[in-house]
Amino acid sequence: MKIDVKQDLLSLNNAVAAENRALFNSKNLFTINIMGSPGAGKTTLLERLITQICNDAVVAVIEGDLATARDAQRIAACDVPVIQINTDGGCHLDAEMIAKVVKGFDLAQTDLLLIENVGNLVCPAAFDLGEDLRMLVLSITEGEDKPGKYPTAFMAADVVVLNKMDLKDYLDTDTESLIADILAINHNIKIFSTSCRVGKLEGMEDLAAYIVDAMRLKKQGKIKRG
Amino acid sequence: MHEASLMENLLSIAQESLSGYNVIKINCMSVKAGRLANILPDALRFAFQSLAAEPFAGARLEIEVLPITARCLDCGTEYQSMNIPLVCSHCGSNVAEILSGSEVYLDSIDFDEK
Ligand SMILES: Nc1nc2c(ncn2[C@@H]2O[C@H](COP(=O)(O)OP(=O)(O)O)[C@@H](O)[C@H]2O)c(=O)[nH]1
Ligand SMILES: [Mg+2]
Ligand SMILES: [Zn+2]
Repeated sequence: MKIDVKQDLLSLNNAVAAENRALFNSKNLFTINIMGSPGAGKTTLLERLITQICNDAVVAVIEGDLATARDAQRIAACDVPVIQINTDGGCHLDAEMIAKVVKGFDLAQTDLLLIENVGNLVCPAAFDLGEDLRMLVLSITEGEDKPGKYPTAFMAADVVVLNKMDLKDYLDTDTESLIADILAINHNIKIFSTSCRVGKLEGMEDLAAYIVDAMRLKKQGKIKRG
Repeated sequence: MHEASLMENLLSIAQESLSGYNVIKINCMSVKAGRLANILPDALRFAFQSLAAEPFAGARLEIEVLPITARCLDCGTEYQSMNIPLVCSHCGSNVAEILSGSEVYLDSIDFDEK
């Protein structure tokens, strides 16, 4: 005999993500899921953003990585609360991992939770964590073919940050066509260009202002996801 | 690649769905995955072979990849596509609202009962 099941394999993750989202909403907390390849500059961008934003918002950070607490140590040096999750080889963070660790923060006193996902351009996008905003960090050193090769990552993102712009003159990457390709995949995506290089910082004010704005809109009850 | 963790979920969903039946043999499990779910059928099959115990071991795993369905925001046409960027089948626009394509689900189980 044959029975219909029709049950989503991600239903468990999606249910926990919905609980996370409800918790974050009840605490008026704005959350960003930061994704991108290993080495794109996610942790460095967080370090710069925290410096830029800390006067406007109380920030907390979750660092996801296969192993080691190195990124968490870098963030802790910025003087914000940080919790490291090691996935032991797992290619993505899931909603359950987030649910387990957020209890370690004083959420009521936090405005902005930044979550650095495991370095991977494919898998994290499939796992909702309960975030408000999905940010993809792509460094221009990765080449302009990445949107075409990993289109689903760009489809799932709300914001893409083109990082390492300080290296533009040393590379043959055609950033104009890179941007056009990204917009063809996702016309709603917001694109920022940044350099996190000390002495050549670029684009931090714009990105920080966008995040602070989105955070305020949420506090006023004007945006709600999920 | 997270096919192994999806397979663990699939097996526990299947187990639950069959709990009221007296199963002697499972013939086939059918999985549907939207194009945006990034499922590699071979990796999912490999995960099945590594993780499936009785009564699932030996069953056939049928995997169908479903196209993205979208609505053109320029002309309103609803269309399906396996390719990205999306291109409206009517007017050629890239600008679309995605209606489905991220889903991945256990569709049905075919088995023999005592
Ligand atoms: N030139 C340049 N290097 C950068 C920039 N952002 C990050 N990096 C470097 O890229 C490497 C990887 O950065 P990291 O933040 O650890 O990447 P993650 O793996 O995405 O977290 C480090 O050596 C950073 O110093 C940038 O804007 N310009
Ligand atoms: Mg990092
Ligand atoms: Zn059209």
